[in-house]
Amino acid sequence: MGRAVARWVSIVVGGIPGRVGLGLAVGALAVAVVGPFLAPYGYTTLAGPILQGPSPTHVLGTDQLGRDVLSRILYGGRSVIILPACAVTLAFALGGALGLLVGYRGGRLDQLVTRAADILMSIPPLLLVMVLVIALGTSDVVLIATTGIWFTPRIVRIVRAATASVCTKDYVLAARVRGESTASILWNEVTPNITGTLLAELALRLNYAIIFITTLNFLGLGVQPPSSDWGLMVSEGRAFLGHRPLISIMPAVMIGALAIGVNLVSDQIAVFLARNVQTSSRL
Amino acid sequence: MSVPWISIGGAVLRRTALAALTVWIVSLGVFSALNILPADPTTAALGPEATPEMRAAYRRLMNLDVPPVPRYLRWAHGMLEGDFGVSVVSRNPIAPELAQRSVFTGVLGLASLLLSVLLALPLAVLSARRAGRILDVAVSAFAIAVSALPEFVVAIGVVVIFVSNLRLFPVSSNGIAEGDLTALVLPVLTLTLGAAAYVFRHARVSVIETMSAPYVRTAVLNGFSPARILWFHVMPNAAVVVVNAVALNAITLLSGVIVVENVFGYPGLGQLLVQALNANDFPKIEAVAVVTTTLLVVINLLADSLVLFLDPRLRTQVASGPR
Repeated sequence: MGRAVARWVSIVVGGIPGRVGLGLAVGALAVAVVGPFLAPYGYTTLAGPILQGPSPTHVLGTDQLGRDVLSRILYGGRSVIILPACAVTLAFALGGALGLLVGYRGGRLDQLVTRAADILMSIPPLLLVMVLVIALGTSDVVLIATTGIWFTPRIVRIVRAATASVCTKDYVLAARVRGESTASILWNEVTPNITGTLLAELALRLNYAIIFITTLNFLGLGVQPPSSDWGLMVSEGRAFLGHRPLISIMPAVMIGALAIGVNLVSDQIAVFLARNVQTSSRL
Repeated sequence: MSVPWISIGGAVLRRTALAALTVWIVSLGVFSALNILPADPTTAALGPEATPEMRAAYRRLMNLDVPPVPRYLRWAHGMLEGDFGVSVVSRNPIAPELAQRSVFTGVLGLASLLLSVLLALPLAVLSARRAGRILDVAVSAFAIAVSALPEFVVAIGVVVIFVSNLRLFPVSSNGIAEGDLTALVLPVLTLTLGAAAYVFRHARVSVIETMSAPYVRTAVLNGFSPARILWFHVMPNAAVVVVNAVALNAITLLSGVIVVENVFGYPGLGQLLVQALNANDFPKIEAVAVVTTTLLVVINLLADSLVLFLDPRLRTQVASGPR
């Protein structure tokens, strides 16, 4: 496990985009994780006069209620990282298991699942999720579940295709002849050989989930005030863009760093996979 | 080899059926989500102070007391005849408002789609022909950055540059209702950037891949001019990818439209949807949801059919049995 992680990290840092991406993503992650411990004020503390510019006591100034902008940014990354991470984990757990199974087994079940995934995928996501959020109310669980369920059919399709192509390989046949169980074949033979595809997709989905969940927060359909969240902060600071632009711009920059970073990592893995396919077909 | 037109017709027909099924599922899904789950539209219409008797009377007035199944049937029947019901908050009919806002959103979406293709295609061809050079690297990096960002972050960037610093355009696009066309600039710019990045990335990869294909090498060895190779050998293939990218873009553009309209106060369908959502105005949410879904599905259908006509290879795939 440790060796595999080290291998993929070395692949990601093997190119300039991947290196930049990993740096940006890890930086934003560090702010989100360590930030709350470093924040000079609480995220709801009325720390000073309203709408102050940058000063030694408030490095990024204060917002419309007099809260310290830097502290709110240091606190505001948790939801931006935890919610998308949970949503993507949910989607990969559901979609990965189903995709592995139908990709390996094939037959009726495969056709049924593929059809269902096709129909689910043609429904416009933002619209449906917004309606669900309103109908069920906004909570972290609703955000995670709806995003996760939106991603699931896409992951089913990708994992299914990757599994089906691996299943024709001799080592899978050999394992089947040895009499190993389906679960064991899927876990020991198939999964290690589709890790690259899974990783590239994982990073891409994480990017989409970040975009999607911060957008819901920005539109006021996700995390509610007075919580501190980068998407929500951009929205709240919009009215003061001309006067105190940092209130909106700084959290927007944090979201940007995270989103671009994750996307670059995904790209780097995809480039590696494409190159590998080319070299192996040339041999 | 004769072209199997009949199977194209079959494929288009199958997709039309799937499209109709999608719209039906969305209408059913939205309707049941809003009617079975506990959100209450009377609070929005009468305020939180309303007595249970007032609520009950209002429900009777707006036909909200009819059981869900007959209500769905009545609603769906009305939709098919162009009657979108009455807002439970303002009690105005929804259809005229929907029509007006559809026009605004249509203008916004089409302008962005058109501009993004006009911007992205030439850049993609230029970048692909000089892959790895400075122009390609710069434009590609910019495109990756833009396509990774949420639309509202791009919108904030656009506002900071054009409104706060250059003081060029109004930050609120409300003026479009009075025919003020400068109101279009910032929303269109924001949407175009995102859409162009998407089209650029797909078109660039497609042109690069096609240029290294054996038949293009043959054309080069035959001594055809680069322009002829580009237009007659490379572009027909790239066109398929572009049409696909544009179709997929329409879906992304929809979520973009919702965000951008809300950022700039542009009076289109996206703004209406968010307003209706916040007011728990069920008939309005349902109407907007069904109309936008129908629009998207139709765009997808058109693009799918267009691709079938553009790409002979897909035709033979269609002809040679199940996908």
